[in-house]
Amino acid sequence: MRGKKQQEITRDMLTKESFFIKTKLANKMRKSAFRLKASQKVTDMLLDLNHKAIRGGGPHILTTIWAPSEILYALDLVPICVESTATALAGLGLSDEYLSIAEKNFHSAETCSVLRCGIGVVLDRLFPRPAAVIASSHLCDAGAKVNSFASLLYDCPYFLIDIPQERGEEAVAYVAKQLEEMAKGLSDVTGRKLKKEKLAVAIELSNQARKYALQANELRRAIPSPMRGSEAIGYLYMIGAGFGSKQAVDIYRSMAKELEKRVKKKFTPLGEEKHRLLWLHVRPYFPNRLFHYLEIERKASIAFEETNHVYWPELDPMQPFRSAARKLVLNTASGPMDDYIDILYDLAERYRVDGVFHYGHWGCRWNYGRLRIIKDAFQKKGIPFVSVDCDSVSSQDYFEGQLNSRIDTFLDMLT
Amino acid sequence: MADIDFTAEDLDPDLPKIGWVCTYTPEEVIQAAGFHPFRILEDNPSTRLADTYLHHNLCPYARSCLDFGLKGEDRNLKGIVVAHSCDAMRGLFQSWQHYVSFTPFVHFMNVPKDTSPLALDYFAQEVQKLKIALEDYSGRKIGDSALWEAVDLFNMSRDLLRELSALRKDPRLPLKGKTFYRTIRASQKIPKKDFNQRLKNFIEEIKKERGQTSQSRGPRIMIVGSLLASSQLVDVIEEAGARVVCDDLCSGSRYFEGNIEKEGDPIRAISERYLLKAPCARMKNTRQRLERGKKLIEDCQVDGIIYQTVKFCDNHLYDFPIFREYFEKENVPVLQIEEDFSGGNIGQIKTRVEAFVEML
Repeated sequence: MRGKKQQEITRDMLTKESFFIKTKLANKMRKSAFRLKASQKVTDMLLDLNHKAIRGGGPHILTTIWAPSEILYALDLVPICVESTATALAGLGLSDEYLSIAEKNFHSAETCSVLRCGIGVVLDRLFPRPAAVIASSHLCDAGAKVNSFASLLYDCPYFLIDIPQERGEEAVAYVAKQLEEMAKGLSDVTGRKLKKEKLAVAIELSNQARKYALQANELRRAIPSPMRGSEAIGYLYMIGAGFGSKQAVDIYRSMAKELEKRVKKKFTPLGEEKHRLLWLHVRPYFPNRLFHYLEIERKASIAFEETNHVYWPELDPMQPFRSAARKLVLNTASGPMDDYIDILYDLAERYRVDGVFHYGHWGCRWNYGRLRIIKDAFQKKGIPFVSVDCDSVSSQDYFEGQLNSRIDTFLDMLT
Repeated sequence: MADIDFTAEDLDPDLPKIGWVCTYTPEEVIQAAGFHPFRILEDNPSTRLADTYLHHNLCPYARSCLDFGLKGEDRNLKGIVVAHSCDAMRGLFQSWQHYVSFTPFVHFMNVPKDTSPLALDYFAQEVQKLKIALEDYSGRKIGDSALWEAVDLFNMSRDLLRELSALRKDPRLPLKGKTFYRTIRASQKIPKKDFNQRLKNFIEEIKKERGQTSQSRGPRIMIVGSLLASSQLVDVIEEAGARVVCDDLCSGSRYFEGNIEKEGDPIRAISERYLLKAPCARMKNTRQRLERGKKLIEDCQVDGIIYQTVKFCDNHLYDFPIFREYFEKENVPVLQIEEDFSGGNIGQIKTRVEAFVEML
């Protein structure tokens, strides 16, 4: 385990009070290649929630990404997403330390590094004991196992939302009932009563954020691309844990406004756009030069990324659990492959991309389980596709030279 | 020493088969539909063909199942039922659906991770969907009587396998671990009617040989894990002077523990047995697995645990540190062994097992 002083410094870095965040990192980010103000707000939201969880400000709940955030915000609970914490630590250059804690405690180095880093965080007790732990099963086995481990370690209630790999009404009804049970359970654990009106407000906020997110996504169809994809991938945090909050509405409204101005001026932060790419899966969160090389040096714009695709219909405030369940069931990380391929074709067409870049995250079983099918699907359509085997939070397998060579070969093929 | 011989000839070559890969698959429904439920688990599994389709960081069992399908040698295989036990199985299903063309029936079955009444209701719907899909494919209705008949047959298999398993505790009986696990494997491949009769005879034969050839009286081992690719690990344990007296394996007790209660609606009864059976690491309640392990340790007077994982099996990998800590507090040492299905790391496994047994 890490020393108390080190722990305290890390906590400070993860909260809004952080000197590091307020000054060095924030300044660097603001200056970096025309970053949107909305993107800084995403970081602020993450830090704010961390601050509440670490320094006190409401019971916090440890979650996996894509947990039903609307319900948590309706209960005034603070969601702390295990994957986002891991990626934030990677950004601060601290993920290796937490991976090492997990591995020293007999957690296999062959599992997903994002979630293994999360285990390190739990073992180090970087966050105080959560009021409860929740996980949803649609993405992967690992999230459910890691949060189960956290609940055993913290000795707190664990709510697993079991999500079938089908999209019918039976599946929606099954998930909706689980959400109701989870909401009741969280209410019992935290003593916070779930009021219908508050749930309706959270659903309404979620819908508003969705509306602006759709606007932003529409604006991003412009050529040249008005936003760097490397920046846009950071909004995965919002899609995964932000909907249902006031901040999400503000962030997406601000994003749409800023993008609108840029589109009118035909402004692109790349200066010039030679290629347009669709980005699949995740990104490296540790300090790296991949995006600088791809976007700035090779002028390949990431026109869109699958993680920002708004895949769910508007939620119904009259049927909050059922529509939140439908949102979970429709997640593109799960469900039938043919549906997913159709979505990818649609994105490739809508964003007029020349090629598809898949950033593989070692240890991600569900994604690697379908990679060949995705590759074949694009090949069938005649859309160039490249996949690189890397990692999101561990820099150990990141070899810049090799990666740049793959990028060169791929981009040269596009021209 | 008593042995039981199951060979490939035991299978009727004209018997239409439906393959399955996970022990959460209700074989009784497949049987009642007029197909022979057959576990896809080859004696010498290969992943050569499948490696082109499934990434090498996925469990080799899932890859070997796809390989079996891609080879397409078993023309009596009419289809496959993939229970969604884990991410690797999801990948197997998707790839089978896209790249294995000769099996007309490919069915995916959701399996909840929880055992709540709500989860059980949902699982019963999934079992019902499997029944309907098989009816649609075969063009034959599956009546309750066919289901109950299959239940009788499979309950009898489970009774016999439990009886055989219990015999492992007695060192005066000449039952080798290799024979035991080969029998389990045969039970998942050979038609149950024939299998039951042969196992019944075999059990009687072993009992008669009590005291004639004794087993090692060395340390008593429990194997916990996913599934054994072969009996290699068991052989190594026995050669090191120890004895496997019980297990918590998908190719062991998790397959035969607990019968189907014969009352009410057969689909509901089948669903209850399968969802509530001895849990795999995929299930939500890890404490239940620990408690079951503790009971097995007490019942079988276990001296040490070998925690076996198939490479990249996340569910079991994540549970290992929990098991290790829990059982070491109970003064039962735990050794983790990883198998990759190729048998390539057997030398290393042997050294580690020998050292572990010596320590016990």
